[in-house]
Amino acid sequence: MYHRLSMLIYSAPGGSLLLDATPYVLKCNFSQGERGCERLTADLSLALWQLYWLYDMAGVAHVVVSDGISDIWAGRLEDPGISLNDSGVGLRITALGYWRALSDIQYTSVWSTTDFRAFRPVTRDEVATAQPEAFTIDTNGRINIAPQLNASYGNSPWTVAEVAAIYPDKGRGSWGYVQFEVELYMPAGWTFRFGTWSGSAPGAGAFTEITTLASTGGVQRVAYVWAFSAAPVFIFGLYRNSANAAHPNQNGVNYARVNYFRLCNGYNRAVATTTTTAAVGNGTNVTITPASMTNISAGQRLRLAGGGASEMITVASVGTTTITATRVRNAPGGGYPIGSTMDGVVVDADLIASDIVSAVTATNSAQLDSGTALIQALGRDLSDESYEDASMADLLTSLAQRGSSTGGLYEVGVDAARRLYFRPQGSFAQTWHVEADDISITRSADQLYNSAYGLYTDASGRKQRTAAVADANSKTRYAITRQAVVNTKTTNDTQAQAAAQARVTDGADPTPRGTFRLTAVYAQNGARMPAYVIRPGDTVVVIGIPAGSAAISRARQFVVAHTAYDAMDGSIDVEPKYPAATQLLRALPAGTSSTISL
Amino acid sequence: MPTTLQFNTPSGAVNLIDGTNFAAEEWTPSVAGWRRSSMGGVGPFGEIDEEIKVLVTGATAAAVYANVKKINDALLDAERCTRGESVTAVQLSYQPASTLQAAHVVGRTDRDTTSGLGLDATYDAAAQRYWTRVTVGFRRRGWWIQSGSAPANAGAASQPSVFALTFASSSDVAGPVDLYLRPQNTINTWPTGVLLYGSQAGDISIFEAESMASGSPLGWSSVADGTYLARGGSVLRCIPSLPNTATTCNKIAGPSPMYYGVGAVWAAVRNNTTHNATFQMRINLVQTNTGRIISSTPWAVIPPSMNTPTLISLGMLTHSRATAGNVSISVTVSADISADALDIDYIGILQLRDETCGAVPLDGVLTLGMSQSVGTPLQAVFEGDMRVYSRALSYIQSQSDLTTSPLVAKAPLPILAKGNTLYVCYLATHGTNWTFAQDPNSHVAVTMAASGILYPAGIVPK
Repeated sequence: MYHRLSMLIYSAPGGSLLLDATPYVLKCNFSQGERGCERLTADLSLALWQLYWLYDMAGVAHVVVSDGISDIWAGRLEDPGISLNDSGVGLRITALGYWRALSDIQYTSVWSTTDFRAFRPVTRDEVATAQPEAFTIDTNGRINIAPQLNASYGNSPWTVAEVAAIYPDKGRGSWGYVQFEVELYMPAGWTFRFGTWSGSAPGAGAFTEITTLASTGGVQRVAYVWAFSAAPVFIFGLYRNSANAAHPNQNGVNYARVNYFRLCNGYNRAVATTTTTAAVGNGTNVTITPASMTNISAGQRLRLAGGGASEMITVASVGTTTITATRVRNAPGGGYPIGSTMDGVVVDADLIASDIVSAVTATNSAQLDSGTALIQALGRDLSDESYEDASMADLLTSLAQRGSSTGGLYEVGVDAARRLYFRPQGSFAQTWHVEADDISITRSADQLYNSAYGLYTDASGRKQRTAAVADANSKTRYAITRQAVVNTKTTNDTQAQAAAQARVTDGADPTPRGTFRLTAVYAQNGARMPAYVIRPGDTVVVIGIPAGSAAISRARQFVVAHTAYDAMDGSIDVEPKYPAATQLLRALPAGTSSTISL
Repeated sequence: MPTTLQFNTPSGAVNLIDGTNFAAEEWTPSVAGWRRSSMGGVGPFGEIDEEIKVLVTGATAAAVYANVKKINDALLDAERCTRGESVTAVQLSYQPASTLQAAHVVGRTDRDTTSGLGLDATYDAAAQRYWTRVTVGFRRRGWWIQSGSAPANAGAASQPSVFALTFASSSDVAGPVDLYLRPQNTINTWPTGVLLYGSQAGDISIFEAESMASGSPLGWSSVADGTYLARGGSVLRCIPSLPNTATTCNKIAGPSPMYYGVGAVWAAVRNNTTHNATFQMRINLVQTNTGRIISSTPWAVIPPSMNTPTLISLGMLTHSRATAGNVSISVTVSADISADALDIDYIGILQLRDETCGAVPLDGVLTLGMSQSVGTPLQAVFEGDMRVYSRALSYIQSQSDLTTSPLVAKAPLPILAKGNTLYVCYLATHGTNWTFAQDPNSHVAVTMAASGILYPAGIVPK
């Protein structure tokens, strides 16, 4: 083969070259998995002073294997060790891929929450005007603040009810975006407000009143979507700004009630459009035609405002140019006119992944490339993403498993250029034809899941289950239903169901277990290639296995989950992830799968 | 009887056929095989074990043992050098007929834990001489390398240009080369780039991307950019009219011919963004007559941060069989936002025909501290004489005072050539410039000259 590899050891990524180890390599194996570069082990025959120099070196060295065209493998030297090898004393090194950089530090941030339990009453110890005992306050699936019969309310002294949501201590970012709908039914003279404290707790720092809603004596329903200056404490409040007087009405008659609430940090994008085509009247399953579909996805809550009215609507489904709202109930006479505002905050996984890159590079600047060009959006709005002291590796893996708005799978990892990728599975994959001389493979139903449902808790904290989703072709083929439960953190049924769909997409065909040792690799047009070109996510077609039954085809053509390359003999072991035939199988009606051949 | 058979060591030659101290009795050179390891850096042929039976003589027993020690020292030095210690390489120098050649001695034979010497001392009373018959077991690199040919030179040309070096002598197999790249102007930084080399005409092809604009669909155009030293004065500009929708330009003939299956591709690109677009780009190999795509490189991502000219590796194009001149190339681009521009100055393709075709990325911009005066510019040096070094060397050198700075070659050296020619080209962008400039922030093009020395090599002694 014309491809020869070099192995270089740098002081750090972008640092000085410590050693061109290429001529000293006695053994070298490197592997790649679903998270990118995984592990490299090499034995080097070096002079004693070089052994101890590398062994005793400060810092974490950067190891690169390159063929001159691109970096084939890169990682950090975590475990240098001096050992006896076949040629006497040598250095054995183990380097691990830069996915490890996501386990160096923890991650704390709240991207979006719809959980009312995030709020608690503000006490008089914190804010002198607060008097929660004078009100009835609950956060069960809503925020409800109600004055009590004959209790005294006014501004001398102040008797204010406030509930606060506090951003996690030393988390990345602060609150910056809120959307909700408030229903206010108070006698005239009362004011509902929301605002922020700039300190780390209510009463700390400066208070900023974002806006107020004065009561009219009747039932008022107003929806808000509001970006505000970042602050760690967000409050809703209710007060009466006049001389103290006893409240005349029975407990529970008057209230300020917050529904459809969502609180986000400031790093997000938005839906910002208007209605077109026709006025939008009250009803269920109402079709609305927005001027732009940008950032709109199923399960999302948006504000609809126009004609002097507003409310929060839930997007049940998304078409090419229209959406269906589950219910519209607050339309003004004649409906929301054409040109009414549709807006709302959107949090997608790409924003979180990009922030993780920033978090890593802020602390360990060399461990990841700061570029985010390989990070793609899921196309979904993630309503509940709160992390405290979380492992970034686990977090990203979890985000990838959510799947896209259509249940499509995502892959996440770090490539040889130390770039974090988060993208649809297979979007950068290639197909190779291979010769194998050592095949060991078994089919197991252990990982077969052709049905799944999502588990989530609603905004009130009740455990909920989505309707089960299933893969009909898989159920027909394997004549068994195996159901998975997917735990989610969301409060949204649509999002939990999308996660269940992603699980079924991944598990509808049993993963073959085994290893193929490949001796020759060809491009699809027949050109011979070095074996190390095969990456996880690529599809390989084993030339020696004849096309035949569907089961055989699954062993003949599959998506690669893991590779292990031996640089000394040029061979590569690949492990399958799932058979590529799955994609064809799905395209056929149930019951016809057994006749497929590739 | 050979003319020469000796170890050249740091402490002098050990002549195994001098007839006074040594008399080689039995040895047949082994022929090395193709090296199976894909790790590079030591040439394309495997290491091989040799055994030479030598009669060591001397007037006294001590003299015999002193001579034996010379062989022992040679093997020790060989091993130290191979391990990377600061010891000059040991060569086995051999001249069976008219040609003197040498092989790099690695050390003892594989897994040998003795000195590599089998010792059996005897006193010959009749001759009143001491002697011992020694079996010298050692490992050498597979190459037999001859002295370098006279330097071949290529005249100065603007960059990137393909230089052709024609050597006075020829190599039977891929032989190592010393290469010198010499900018003719004042420079104070050596830009990151990729050195391409091949030993046949057509191994390296450079295409002016702007020539693809003619006949391309809407959104593709040729735009003058001589200010920033665009090769040929212009660049190919692509402004996709729709987001996330691939558009492909017209094809141009080449690479010519795509005869050995696989070619590696680089392009000089610039994300000329005003709206923060991220581009994806790939190069296609297409049939000239039908336009059918034969293969494409993987997608390369060009983020908004790549807003100055940047050389990117696009991976490989493949072809199943030798086909002379009936293939062309085209470029496919998509962007997540329409109305932004991607500029492409040139596309370089290297045929990966055999070990005499290679790419050597030169890693990192080296700030050299001061400008070199015109007439005594810097040069990049790639030393490949594998008789002398345990590994090939690369560095930047001032031609005036010969001081050196590191030049990190991110691919195996030495540069190799077969026959008597070598073609080289250095692809690099430089700051805001599309090509090698005197300074990354000014726009004065560098012209460069190249010269080289070929060390003819073989695996069977001549």
